[in-house]
Amino acid sequence: MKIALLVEGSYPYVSGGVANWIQMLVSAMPEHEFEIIAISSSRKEASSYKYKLPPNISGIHDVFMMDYLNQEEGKPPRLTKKEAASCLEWFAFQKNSEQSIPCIADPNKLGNPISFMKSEIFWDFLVASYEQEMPNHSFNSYFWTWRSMYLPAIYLLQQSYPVADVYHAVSTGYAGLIATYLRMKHKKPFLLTEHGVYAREREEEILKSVWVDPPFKKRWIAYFYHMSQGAYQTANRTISLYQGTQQIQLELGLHAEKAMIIPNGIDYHRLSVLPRHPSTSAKGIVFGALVRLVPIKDIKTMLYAVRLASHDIPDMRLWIMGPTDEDPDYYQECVALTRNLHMEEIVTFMGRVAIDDYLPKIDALILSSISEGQPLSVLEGMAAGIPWICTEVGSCRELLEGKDEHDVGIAGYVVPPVNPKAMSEAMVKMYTLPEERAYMGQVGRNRVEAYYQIDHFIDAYRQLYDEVVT
Amino acid sequence: MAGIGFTLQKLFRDDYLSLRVRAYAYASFIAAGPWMLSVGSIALINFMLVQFGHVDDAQRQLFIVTVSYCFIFSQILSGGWQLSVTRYLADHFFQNRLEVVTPTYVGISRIILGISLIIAVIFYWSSPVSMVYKVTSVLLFFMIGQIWLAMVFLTAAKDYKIISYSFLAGGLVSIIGVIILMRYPIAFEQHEQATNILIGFSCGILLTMSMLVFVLLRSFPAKEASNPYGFLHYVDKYPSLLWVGFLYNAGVWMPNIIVWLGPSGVRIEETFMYSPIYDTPVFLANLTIIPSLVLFVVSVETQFYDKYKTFYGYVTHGGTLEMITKAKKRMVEVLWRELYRLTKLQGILTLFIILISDMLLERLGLQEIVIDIFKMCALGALMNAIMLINILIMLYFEDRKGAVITGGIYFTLNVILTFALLPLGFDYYGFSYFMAGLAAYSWSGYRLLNFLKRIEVHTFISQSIINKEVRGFFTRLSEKAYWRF
Repeated sequence: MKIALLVEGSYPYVSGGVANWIQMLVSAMPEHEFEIIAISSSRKEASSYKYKLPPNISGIHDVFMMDYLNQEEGKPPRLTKKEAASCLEWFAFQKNSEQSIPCIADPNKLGNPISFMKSEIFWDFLVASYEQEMPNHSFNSYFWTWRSMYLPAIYLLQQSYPVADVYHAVSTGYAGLIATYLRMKHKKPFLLTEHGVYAREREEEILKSVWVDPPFKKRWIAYFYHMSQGAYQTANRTISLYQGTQQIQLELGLHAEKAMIIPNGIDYHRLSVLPRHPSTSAKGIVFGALVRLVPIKDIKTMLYAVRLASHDIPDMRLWIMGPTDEDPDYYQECVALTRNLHMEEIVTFMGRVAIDDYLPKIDALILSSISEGQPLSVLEGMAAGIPWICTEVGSCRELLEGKDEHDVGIAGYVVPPVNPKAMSEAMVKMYTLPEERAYMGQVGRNRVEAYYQIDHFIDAYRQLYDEVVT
Repeated sequence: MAGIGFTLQKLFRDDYLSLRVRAYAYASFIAAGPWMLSVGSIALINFMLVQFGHVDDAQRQLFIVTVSYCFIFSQILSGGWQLSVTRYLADHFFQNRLEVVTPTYVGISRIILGISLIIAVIFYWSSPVSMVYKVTSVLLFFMIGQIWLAMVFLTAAKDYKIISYSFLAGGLVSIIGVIILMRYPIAFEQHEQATNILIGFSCGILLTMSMLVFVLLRSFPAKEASNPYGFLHYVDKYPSLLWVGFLYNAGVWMPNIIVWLGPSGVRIEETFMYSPIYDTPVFLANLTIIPSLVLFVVSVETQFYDKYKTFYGYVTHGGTLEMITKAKKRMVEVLWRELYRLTKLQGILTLFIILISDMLLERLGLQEIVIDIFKMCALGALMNAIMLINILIMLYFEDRKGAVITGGIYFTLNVILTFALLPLGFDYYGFSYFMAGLAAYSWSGYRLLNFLKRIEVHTFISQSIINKEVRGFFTRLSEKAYWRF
């Protein structure tokens, strides 16, 4: 069958958790044809593939959000009263208004996006909303907010997309919106996999951002929730990686009978046979981090923690393994911080390495992220029998402490994020209890074997695809 | 004369919008200027020759037709570019980039000279007129084109004094030159008198042109670095401006060109076509609308401009919708009031002129049919003026589409109606000019009315369409030209 994967700002142009997951999924199902619908912000960002595309990818269908800026006026809207009213419901974030999306996506009905914004019906609606929300605020800012909110969405909806047997969106947001539309247009099944919770992530980003004018933050946040809820409503199945995200999805209105959990999986057989050459306490300890050098991974907290722990651990090493080219500035800052803390002896930035060569020599692994879904690197480390120190983000606690009463045992320590002291204490504890380390490594290995093998995850999706198509 | 730099500085402290509006307003002043100059000087010299010169009629007519041709075709040629160049300059002045002025002037001069030369060569290719006459008249054609052009650039500097002086001085030298050469003619084998008059007249035009260009080059020091053809990029960016200018100017003259081909057309020296009973009244009629064009500039400056600035200020600088709507109301009120006032004034003036035209024009020795055509053309000119004002207002509000359609209607109807009415005889001459003007005026009024009703909508939507860098044919052409010439 032909499966269209709808991806926003990720595969094949940006590497990361979601993109790695896609590469695994597609490579493991050579029997199916995949087409990637890649939604990128602008052409600049979609310059080069970060992955070697498997042969069963029949094409990358690019759409660029910022292209909406090049729109000129065009066809005027031709909506019946009823259609117009239902379209406006969607623009007003009404619940269950997804039914009007095909109408919005049809340039012969809604007209060209710019002309639609000019039309009396939309303009009157805009003015009425303004009078209601903030009549004493700059109308220009209000207008621009609406414009940057709705034009990209309308523009993306009005593009042409390939036909497939299944539409599989790997996030809500614009990917989910387009999948919602394609499901209605072609009457084909729509699967939604969320690694994090898109709307929640956008909310955090907007609350922190300086580029959104404070009075408009509420509206922007509501907009992304509105889009996500539309996807939850229309998707045949919504899959999350672990209990935590599913809980949030259910709170946002996802129906329990459509909710599923399919955890990530990794190549257990390869990693579990790696030898272990752990250090004894007399020889000190080697910590490792399997991580891209980007701010969300909060490497700096890890460096401060290492500094604190080094008072109690005489001979310590930290190897940071992962690509450094994604955010060169941040990488330079981390290198500078290492220098300033006089830890050049302790910390090594190794760049991208073959982890199989290094994992055997590592005594414990550290993850200091401030946000995660279900990190593959943690699963890989566990499969290799290495204990972890993780911040409490995403499903880390579930991975290290088990998800229910049938899944007991501790595979590492969970510490609060952005807390170097707590992390350093966990490091010292690791150092002082070598037998505990071996035990935790074993627990982790068994847990991956039981629940997180790549075959589990692939089989689950294979089954799911067959199920929704028939 | 030393004041120009200072005036510029004062002008450029204004914000972008004001600059644009004023630029277009002066463009209308420029539109009125050529009439005064061309019709005035031709009429005066014609009058002089009839009264004091002992010139035979054919020679006098040859001269008059030659000069008319120079004026008409140089206007169609340069008029088209006017709005694009005006807009280009306004935008660059706004960024305080005065260094583009001279290179741009040089660039467009070359372009217009090139086109003029090609047209002149084709035109004179099989003509029996003497070589001296051909060369002199082509030079005159070039110079007049250069004058229109320099005026576009100089009105940006708002130095009307110098413009007026150069025209006056030029006019004076023209007259003196004609008188001297009539008295001590240079010997020519062919049409001696006409050639001498033409040379005399050209001396004055040369002076006017030299003064204008001299002031221009002195006010805007040249910088080498910029591409003289850079403004061609604007032809791609706002192709509509080029079209508006071209359609309007060509529309005005199309009836004349078509009438020349009709039964009243006369051929001079197997070269020039003209229509004595039609050309004269059209020239005279087009003089009658100068007051409204000048008044328009004044009323934009004094009444409309503040309201316009307030409205756009609220739109772009955080006004609430209530403030914007109020400002819009005030602006639109003032606009309609001023338009009404202008139309009324010009209407009364035109009617008055029509009433006294019998008496007035008979004195000048014109035939009755010519006077009747004049009456019709005066109405046509009235329509032409208020339509042109509508076009300019559309451009203020960035309704370029409306402006182009108006120009298109005007041009098309002038062509079609003139052809259609030609068989009906002399009584209908000028009627097509009037009808085309009436239709284009009505449509533009209707469009403007609707556009202004929702002006805030148009403004918000259009300001939000970010002008992407359009790289079309003309942009590439400009880059090629830069490397070659």
